[in-house]
Amino acid sequence: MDDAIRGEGSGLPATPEVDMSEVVGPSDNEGMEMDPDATLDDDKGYLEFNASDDEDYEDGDEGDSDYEPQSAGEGDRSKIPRAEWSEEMEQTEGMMKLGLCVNTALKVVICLGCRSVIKPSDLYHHVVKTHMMPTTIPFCQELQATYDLQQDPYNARPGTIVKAIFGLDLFEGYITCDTCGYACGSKKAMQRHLKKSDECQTFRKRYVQSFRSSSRRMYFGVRLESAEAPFGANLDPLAYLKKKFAPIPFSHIPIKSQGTGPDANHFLKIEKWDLYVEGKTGADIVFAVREREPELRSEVRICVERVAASVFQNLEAVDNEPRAAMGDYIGLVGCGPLHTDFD
Amino acid sequence: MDHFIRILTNHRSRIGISTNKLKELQNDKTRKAYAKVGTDLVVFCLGIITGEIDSFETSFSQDIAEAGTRFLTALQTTSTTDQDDALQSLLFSLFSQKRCGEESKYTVLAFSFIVLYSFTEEGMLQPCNTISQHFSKVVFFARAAIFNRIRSDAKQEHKGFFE
Repeated sequence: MDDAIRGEGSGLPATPEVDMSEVVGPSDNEGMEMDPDATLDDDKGYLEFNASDDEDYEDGDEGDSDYEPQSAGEGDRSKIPRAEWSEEMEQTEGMMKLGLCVNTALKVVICLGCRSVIKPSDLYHHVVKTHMMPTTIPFCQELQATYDLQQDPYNARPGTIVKAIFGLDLFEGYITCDTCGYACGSKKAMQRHLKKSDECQTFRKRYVQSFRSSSRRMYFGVRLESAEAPFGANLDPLAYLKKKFAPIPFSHIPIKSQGTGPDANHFLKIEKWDLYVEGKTGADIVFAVREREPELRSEVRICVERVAASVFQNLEAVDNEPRAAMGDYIGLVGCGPLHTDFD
Repeated sequence: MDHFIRILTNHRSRIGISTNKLKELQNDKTRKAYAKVGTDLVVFCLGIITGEIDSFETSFSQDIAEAGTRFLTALQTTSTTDQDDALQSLLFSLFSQKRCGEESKYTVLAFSFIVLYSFTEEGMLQPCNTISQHFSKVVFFARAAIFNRIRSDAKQEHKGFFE
């Protein structure tokens, strides 16, 4: 293994002098609101989730909070602790000069200047163009090969509650799934998440981190090593009983073509759509229509909002007669669902 | 287009876009909710066209494919006019299929979306078989998109709405 890569694996990591004006992207505070009710219990390492918090979370724009929670955010940064160096971190001399370190457990390289994970394919460009530091493509390639770095860390979470990652900022005010670490700002979004998996059942406020330092963060819950509480102490008997006796959520019941009674399958039969969705669950459908392509979705939404505004303005500007023509066409064959429920 | 306008002329019926609905749309939050539904639809459509979403059996017409591709290309440009035009075409191509009563109506992409969307938590179709407000939003969005396209085309050709 090349010394330039492995080199010194111990000692305090160093951050090079970085001109932050070169760093592209919004600051950490942009678009975030402070949650004044978030309280930190240092003895437990997580933030207690109180019933009174629910009201704050409920107020958010429905659905929007799945990916980039708006109702919660960071508070006073000075009060939030920093993730400590752990045995999972490595920094060689070569990395130190560039302000990089690697989390070997999660297989990600972190830019200490940006406090963000960098994609291996972007590493050379990031170091040279953003921070104007000298490095070589072979060095970046070797770094990737040595630590088997994740190719696209931005689109995944660790999948569990992990130790707080050195080099990334901690945020408070988010609720996180106790099982997979999924974090979001609203209780609604969390409830949707819990419905998707049998394993995920409980959640609470915790510190969170994100692999990205700017927009489109995917937050995940982390634990602070110094303030961890034993898991057994958190077992909630009520939640356990609820889990044991709760009916299977609708979103987890596979759709059948020959349903009986006044249920969703009846609707499918009328629409002749049962064969197309047979065997799928509501969770599959939610995944297909809501959670794919989050970056594309954000771009598309801007255009849709713009067009929608113009369309509605147009509608308002015309009199009733042309609008009437846009009603359903009685007499036309096969207008199906468009006959129903307009107001 | 002429064919479509003829259909409109021959089949006037009741008002689908009511004053109440328009009043409701003056609320910014409501508009955003409608835009959210529209966004879901467009992203789903692009996913189907590009093959990113292949877990649902559905089909789409040549018009939809072309309009979707054009919109994807327009997204990479900075011209908002191009983006808006392409998006408007895409919405029109999605919904006009069904409106014209094509035989393959149940396999046309937009309607697969509507059915799928009804099963999301927001759709709230769930076990009660009621068509939800979100379903209504998709329908309304469809009407509005078609209306806008026809109106702007007629305007461009210096025609009245029913000529």
